[in-house]
Amino acid sequence: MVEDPRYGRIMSVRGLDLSTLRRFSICVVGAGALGNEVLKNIVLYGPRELTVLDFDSVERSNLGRCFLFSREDAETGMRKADAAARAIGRMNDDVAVKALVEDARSLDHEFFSGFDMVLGCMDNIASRLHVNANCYYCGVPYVDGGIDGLAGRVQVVIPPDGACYQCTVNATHMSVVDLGYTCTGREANVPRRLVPSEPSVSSLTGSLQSLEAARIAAGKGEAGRMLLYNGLRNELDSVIVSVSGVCDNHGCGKDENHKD
Amino acid sequence: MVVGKMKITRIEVRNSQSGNSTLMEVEGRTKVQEILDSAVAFWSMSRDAYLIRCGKKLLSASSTVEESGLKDGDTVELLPDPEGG
Repeated sequence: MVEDPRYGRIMSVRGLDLSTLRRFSICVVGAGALGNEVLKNIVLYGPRELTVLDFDSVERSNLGRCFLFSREDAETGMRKADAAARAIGRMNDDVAVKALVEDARSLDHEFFSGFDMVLGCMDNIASRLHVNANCYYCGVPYVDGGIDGLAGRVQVVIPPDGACYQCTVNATHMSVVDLGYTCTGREANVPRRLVPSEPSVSSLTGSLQSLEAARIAAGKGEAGRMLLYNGLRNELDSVIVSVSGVCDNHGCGKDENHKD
Repeated sequence: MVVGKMKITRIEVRNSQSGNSTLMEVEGRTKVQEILDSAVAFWSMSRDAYLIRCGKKLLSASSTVEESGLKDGDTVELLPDPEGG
């Protein structure tokens, strides 16, 4: 079969077979600053299907960081999922792009089991826990990303091996579990913190997240790995995450730390 | 150091945001979560999500000092967990 020249340069990358990703159905949860970056990268890989899941609407405050949205989208209050899906659909019409205007927390494992991989770009811990748990339950690889100012984090979850997002959660997370780390600081009935956001850090974190997705598709993903980016020092570090003995997703098993 | 039958481990706790550090004496049965909470309180850090690492390993908050393999002279680092999107 002759490869489409559109993907020639991508497929000729040495050390990473990116052809598998073209057969994948991928869901990106959250179409904010991070989601915009991830969606752009993933659609350029040319997966079979790409679903954008977000229930929020575009606001003017999004325009400083979310390049998939226009001023008109903000003025008409277009849904982020619809606006992002339209924009990435124009970038690559080979991909079946779908928009879903739903709260991720209203969807269960039957929904998430329909994908080969899920990427989390959400703005709150409760949604992350929900998506992570459902993906872990149905064995779907999950790549979680988070940003805050000059800090970025990417975690790779490949069930059933290694740790999941919930394994990293501690009491400090639970003290803010219901807070949304919104970019607008409003539009919610629970307290929300205005999160500082730096476009380059969003871009970099989203790129790391997309690359981890490509690595998983190519069979080179590493479960239990977390990447930490510190923009203040411009440093990237990788740490090992162990399975937590109190993680519900892993049952009541012994903490893998104990084996050290 | 052993006090009575209780082994005391001296660790350095570093604040990745400020670069400041402090020494902490902990027991083998001390939970990592207690170290984390003490450090957050000591530096009057904002109510937020934090992680704690020792070198290339993220420490599980539910583990004890002993289970985490922390030894005298080890440095653990407290870092914010970015949860925005």
